[in-house]
Amino acid sequence: MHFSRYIVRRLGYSIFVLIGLSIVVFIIARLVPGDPARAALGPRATQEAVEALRAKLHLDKPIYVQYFFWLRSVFQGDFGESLYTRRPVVEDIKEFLPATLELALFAGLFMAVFGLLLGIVSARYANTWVDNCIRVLAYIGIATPAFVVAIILILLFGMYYEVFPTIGRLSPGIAAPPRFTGLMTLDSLLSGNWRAFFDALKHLFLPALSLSLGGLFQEARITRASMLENAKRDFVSAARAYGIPERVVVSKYLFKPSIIPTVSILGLDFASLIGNAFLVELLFNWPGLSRYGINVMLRKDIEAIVAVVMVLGVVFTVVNILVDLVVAYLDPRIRLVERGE
Amino acid sequence: MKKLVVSMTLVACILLFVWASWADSSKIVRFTEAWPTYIDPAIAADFSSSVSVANLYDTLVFPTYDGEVVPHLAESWEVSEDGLTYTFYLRKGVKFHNGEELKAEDVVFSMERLLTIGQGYSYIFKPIIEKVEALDDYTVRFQLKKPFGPFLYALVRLYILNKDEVLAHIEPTGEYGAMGDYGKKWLLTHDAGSGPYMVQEMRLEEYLHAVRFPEYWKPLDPDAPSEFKYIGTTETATVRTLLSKRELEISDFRQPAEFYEAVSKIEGVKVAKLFGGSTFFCMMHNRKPPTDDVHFRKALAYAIDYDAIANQIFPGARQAQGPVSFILPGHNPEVYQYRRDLEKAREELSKSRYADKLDEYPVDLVWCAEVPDEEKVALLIQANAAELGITVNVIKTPWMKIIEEVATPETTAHMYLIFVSPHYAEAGSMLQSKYHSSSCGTWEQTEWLQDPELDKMIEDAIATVDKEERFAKYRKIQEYIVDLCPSLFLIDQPENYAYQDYYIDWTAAERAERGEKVNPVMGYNHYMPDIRVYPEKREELLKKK
Repeated sequence: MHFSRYIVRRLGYSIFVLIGLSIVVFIIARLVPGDPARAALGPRATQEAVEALRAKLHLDKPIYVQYFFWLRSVFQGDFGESLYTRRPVVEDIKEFLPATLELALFAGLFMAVFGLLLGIVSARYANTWVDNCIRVLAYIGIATPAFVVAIILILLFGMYYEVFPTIGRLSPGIAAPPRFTGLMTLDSLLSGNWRAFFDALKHLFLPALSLSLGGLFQEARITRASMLENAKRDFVSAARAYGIPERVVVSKYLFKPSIIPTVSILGLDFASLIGNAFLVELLFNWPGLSRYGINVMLRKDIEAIVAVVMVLGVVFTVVNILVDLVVAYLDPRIRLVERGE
Repeated sequence: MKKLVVSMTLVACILLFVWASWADSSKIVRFTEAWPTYIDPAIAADFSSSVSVANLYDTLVFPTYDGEVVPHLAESWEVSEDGLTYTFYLRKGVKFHNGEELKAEDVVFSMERLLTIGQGYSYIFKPIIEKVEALDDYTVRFQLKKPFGPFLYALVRLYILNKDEVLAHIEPTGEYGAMGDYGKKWLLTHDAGSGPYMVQEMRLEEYLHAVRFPEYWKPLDPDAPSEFKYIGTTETATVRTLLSKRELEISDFRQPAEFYEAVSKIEGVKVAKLFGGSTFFCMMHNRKPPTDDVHFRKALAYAIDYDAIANQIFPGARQAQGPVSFILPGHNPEVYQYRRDLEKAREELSKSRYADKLDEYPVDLVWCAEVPDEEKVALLIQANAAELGITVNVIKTPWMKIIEEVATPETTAHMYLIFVSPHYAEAGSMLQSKYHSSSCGTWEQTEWLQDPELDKMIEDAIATVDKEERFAKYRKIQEYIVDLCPSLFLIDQPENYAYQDYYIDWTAAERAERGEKVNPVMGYNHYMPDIRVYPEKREELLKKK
């Protein structure tokens, strides 16, 4: 099969997955006990206001009819109105998704760069004190939840050594750059606002680090194991036998095939970051989608719940496809299999 | 590889060492609270929203710390003899934040908008307002459907919006016919008020930043905050760090006891305990055996270890004296207070028709899953009841399910642990929402008391315009209720705030420290003009560090 057809097929499957996901989430959101209209308007809102909201949300109709209305609106680009923020869910997602994406991108960057680096160093100095230290750190890093790391970092760098800010995306007194993408760092770069750029970086550092540590050490361990395994392969021995310098052997012949499992896991880890950033966003008062998602779930904001889960579903799907592409690029065997060669 | 290491080191260096620094020497007051906050006066009703609108908008009358109301936008008023007509004479020259003058038609518009939207504090006015009309630019008349004694006190919840500005920002595709969305979308992040502060920036899920309105009609003290920022977080580690860095002046009141203990050790930080009128009840089903028996209920009332709840589970709280918090105007300080006395408890239980068949009547006690401390109270009640031979089943239930459960007497459990706050700062509010038959089926009354005599007494008291006469009636009602013992009156709950005592003067905290009453109207203890900030003292603390 041609590789492009493989991609098209994957996209086709993804659409079915997303439709299935939307049905499941739509039903679950409505089965949770409690009247969303009453929850949104408060216990003292008038009955007329509650009934009007119920009618607006089609809650007075059978669930399959509600789903039909929802699906029709979605095709018109309307995910309904959030009962939590009282504005269209699409606007909420536009506002909150970039903040989480920016956080996840930086956390992903930390995971990729430092995870690979630690993995390589660990493999290069396997079974020495350097390797042992990295492995112990990795165990601690993987076992410690991101929110615990966040609390430690806040107390350490926010309270005892006041190096980094602990809340928000920008310091007071620094004007936010014009919104092009919603990513504060990118927008400040695009507008040439260096002060805002460095301030945004400073605000990103602690939350991104807390979020990345678990995955970072996971990638380090996988890279190490993969490199040590590949180091015993014939093609590496052959390269060494040809007298190719060790530096080239490692960087050219050993590194590339060794990072394939790391990239696969990295992709999934990155997608998970977007959904799992809740506690970190809460601790750093980061106005992101993950925190928004939990808040709407707690308030039974049915339209927003479905929209957030769908966005996360799309992110997972897209990232998975991208990972497949990267892996295929790194591993010629996959390309050849897909082409039927 | 080298390139990789070099570039990574470079990135790390940038992240670690390059940042812009700023000096913050403005007279800012920052406080934390849970999100969401709605600054639209027709939506606002919770704590953070009430604080925000109190500072962004003006009201006809203003609530004082001793529970009175004084002229504010209204310079004076008249009440008709039948108590059905209130005429207010407005102050001239009051400016909205956009420079336009506040007039009577803005008051009419604000009330009509509140009643039409039917959210926020509309529930106070909906049953009583017949008509509001502007007699001229500076005179507005309210016609009531029935006499409502606390009307002036309730008016502290009518925030006046600029009609023209709201109309200019209406989204035509709204649910209110010709009024479109009634400006709801715009008012989510903007204000149309005349209050002492105006919105500078509102970032949903993050913060509300407001600055002083330079043309405010009432002169503010030069040391009053020039700006305030409400930060939408209650995360303990974050709040503690911000306090320690002097980047937060007042904490929220949702922190655990350990937090207050820890931050009170930070130099210049104190903890204030403000009683806000909220009372913690164990509501008992008065129509379901065995809690339908007054002696059974009284037996429980005598069995409870109130001191343990007030001192150990909710440190700083005080045992409630009847159904109305001691801070609320109209509270009866003479009303009987049940205290733990097992002898009396057994005596009452022996008079109960269930005394010899307790095994057949286990009692279900529901606590709200979202308030973990309630479990401790539930377990304490279970243990106290066991001393009398009463079996109590402790049940954890999510709040949304509690609301559904209590809608009918059949599905309502025997007992619920619930905090209740008054709708407006007067005893009548609590008495009506807790014990009038009209509130049966809501979370505020799971007792299903349905006592026609009590209903009449409450209606009569609330309809009484003369304050002294009304308060005398409130006192009698409290005695009547305490004698019926429909609920266990557990504690009056204080709100604990950590604040920067060294560089801010916070009137509410100082009053509380002196043992004086604080403002019983939710939100008004955070009225910024009543706070003083001294940035130079803040700098002193920062330098010491």
